[in-house]
Amino acid sequence: MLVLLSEGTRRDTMEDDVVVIKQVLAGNKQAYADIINKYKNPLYATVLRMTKNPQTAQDLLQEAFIKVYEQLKKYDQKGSFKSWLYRVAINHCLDTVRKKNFQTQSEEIQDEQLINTSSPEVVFLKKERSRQLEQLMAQLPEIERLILLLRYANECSYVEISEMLDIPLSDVRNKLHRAKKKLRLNIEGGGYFYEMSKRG
Amino acid sequence: MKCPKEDKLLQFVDELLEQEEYEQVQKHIKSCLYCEQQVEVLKNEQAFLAETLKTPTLPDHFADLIVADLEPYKQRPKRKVKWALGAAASLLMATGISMSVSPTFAQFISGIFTSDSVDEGIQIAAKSEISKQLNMEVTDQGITLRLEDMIVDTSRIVVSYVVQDSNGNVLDPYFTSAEDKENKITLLDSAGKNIITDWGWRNADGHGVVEFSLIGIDSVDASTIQFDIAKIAGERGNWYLEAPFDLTKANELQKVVGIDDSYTLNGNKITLDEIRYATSSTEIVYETDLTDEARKALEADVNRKVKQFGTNIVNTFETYGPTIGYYIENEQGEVVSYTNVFAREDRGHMVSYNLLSGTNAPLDKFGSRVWTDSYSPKKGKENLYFVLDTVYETVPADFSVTFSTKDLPYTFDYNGHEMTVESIGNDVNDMFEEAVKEQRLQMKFQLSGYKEWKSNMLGKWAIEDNKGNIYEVHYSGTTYDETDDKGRFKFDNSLYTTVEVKEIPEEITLHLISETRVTELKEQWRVPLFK
Repeated sequence: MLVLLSEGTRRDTMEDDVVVIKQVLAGNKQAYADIINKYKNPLYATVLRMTKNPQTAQDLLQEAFIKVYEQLKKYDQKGSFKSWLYRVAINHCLDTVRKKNFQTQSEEIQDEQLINTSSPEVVFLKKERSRQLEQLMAQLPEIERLILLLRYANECSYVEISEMLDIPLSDVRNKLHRAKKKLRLNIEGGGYFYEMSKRG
Repeated sequence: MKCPKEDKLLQFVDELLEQEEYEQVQKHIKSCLYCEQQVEVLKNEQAFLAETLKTPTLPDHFADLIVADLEPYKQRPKRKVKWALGAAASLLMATGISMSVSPTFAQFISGIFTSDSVDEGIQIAAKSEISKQLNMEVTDQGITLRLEDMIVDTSRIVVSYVVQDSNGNVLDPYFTSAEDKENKITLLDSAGKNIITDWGWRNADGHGVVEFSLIGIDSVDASTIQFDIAKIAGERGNWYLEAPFDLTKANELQKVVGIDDSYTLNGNKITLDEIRYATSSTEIVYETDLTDEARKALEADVNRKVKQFGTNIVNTFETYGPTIGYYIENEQGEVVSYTNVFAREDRGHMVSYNLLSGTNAPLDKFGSRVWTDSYSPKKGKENLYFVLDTVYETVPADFSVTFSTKDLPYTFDYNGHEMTVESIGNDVNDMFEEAVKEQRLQMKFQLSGYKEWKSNMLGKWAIEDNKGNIYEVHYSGTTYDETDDKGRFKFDNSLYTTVEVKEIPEEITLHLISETRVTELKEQWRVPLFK
């Protein structure tokens, strides 16, 4: 359940995660599947846009979850488990991406979920705008892209993002705002945001 | 309150305003139709952003795949070594690290090299005689670059460092890549000549780790690593350090076992040369070659293809001849590492495990190469065996298909593949900087389909239009572990012409230029990696 707090931060109920972690540490490895299932899709959406390759993103995420499992005893419950997990997972993926310099195997990301929810015309329009958005995202500096992904794909609060990436809260806010402005001001090719901003 | 500017409304929607200002804007919106509509637009944008960025998703069984290979937490957790996960070279640690060097002589390093932020080989080496503390630093612009520790092994030299400000805060250690001319990290020989200027880099918990591979480099004995840095943590300056090193101890500790055993299958010859047991890694050196008859036949096939399509299309970024997939097992038959195998029937593509790095180079004869694969070090005194699993042969292909570009999608079959040309259009290939800079419109094909397990791997393509013009293409593709209801693996390919093509022809012929055959062995070739 999400709780909206006064300064725009959001907080998951951490109790669920802590209960599961205790079960895992007591020997119930199957319980770890609950953790994976809870976080796998938003993390995958993020790692995919950093590596630009679905297979590589899957493999990196598998490795990251294994790493989290092996370091589970190090989680001291002082901060949110989500922040801790994301820090381990994102750092692992970023380290590998930077080392291997994933520049030459980018794949166009297919938005499969938009199919089957609307009329064909709307599906086409949404897919085209999604494609434009992905292109704009790919042009952003890595840190701005990552902050956008953590905020929108992973529903992280600014405080959580600040903890995960170990950067000041003010930087998170500034970078997010800057990134959003860039997406909106890419006027050269037109696109969704430009059109929307010129309405009314 | 006057209508806030669009920038302010954006901050409002993104919850970036301070409480007081947020409430003021909120109050204004309730009484201003225009601003209410603007906010509605911005919220729709936000919803679209979230909707787009939350996809795609992983298959349902993703968690099960991971959990299946985990050990429960009754004891110190470790992964099972049989057919574990991961196509990317794994940097994760197996446990049970053993020390084989007397602590009396070992220089103990307590920094990042003993943590699990680095690979297992570095952890082992950090507790041995080939490691040393550097503790060298230089300060400029209020920023200090401090070299911490160094590991000097026959296979690689690894250095860790930190970057700190004047208050001792650790800063981002990121150097730009070896291709960047601003920051130079160079291995010099004793005469001061550059030997290696190419290095790998990673961030290990805020420490920078630079690694030089010495595989294939014979002339290094004792020398210096030179750090000549012009930009760190966003600041320009001048940080210069020289760290001397000596390979004498690493050479003493290394054990090389000559194997010199060969195996031939279908004209492909594999020779295991030697295995090098170094402190931080174990390397297997082997050669792949062809029999004279097979070489003659392959060369003739390639030359025929070159006459038809030209050498650029046939030979660029393609290596003809054999390669192998194999695994390394111990005396009990437990697999400890593998390279280029299909591992399990639910993997649609080759995978590797415990591989730190792999290099290869051509030898004198056509189709022959020497390979050096580097793995996490051998554990203790266990005896290891090399077991050949698969022989792969990259050969010219003989397949073409013609279709109308007005009649898409178009589906065809080839050699265990069912392929569909989904779309053809003009696009800028954003893999290449020049293409983006010039906004070069290249013809782009989107292919997708399904392939049978261990069917041939498709290689290079060429495109021909109805006027007989032939275009070289760049291609990239992925085979997934997802299957259809016939148990075939999904794949996607993108093909881009290398030159500008503004108009899409009415009819196109796709020519498959090369493919890699997959041959499983009928009898086992198992070679002891010890004398």
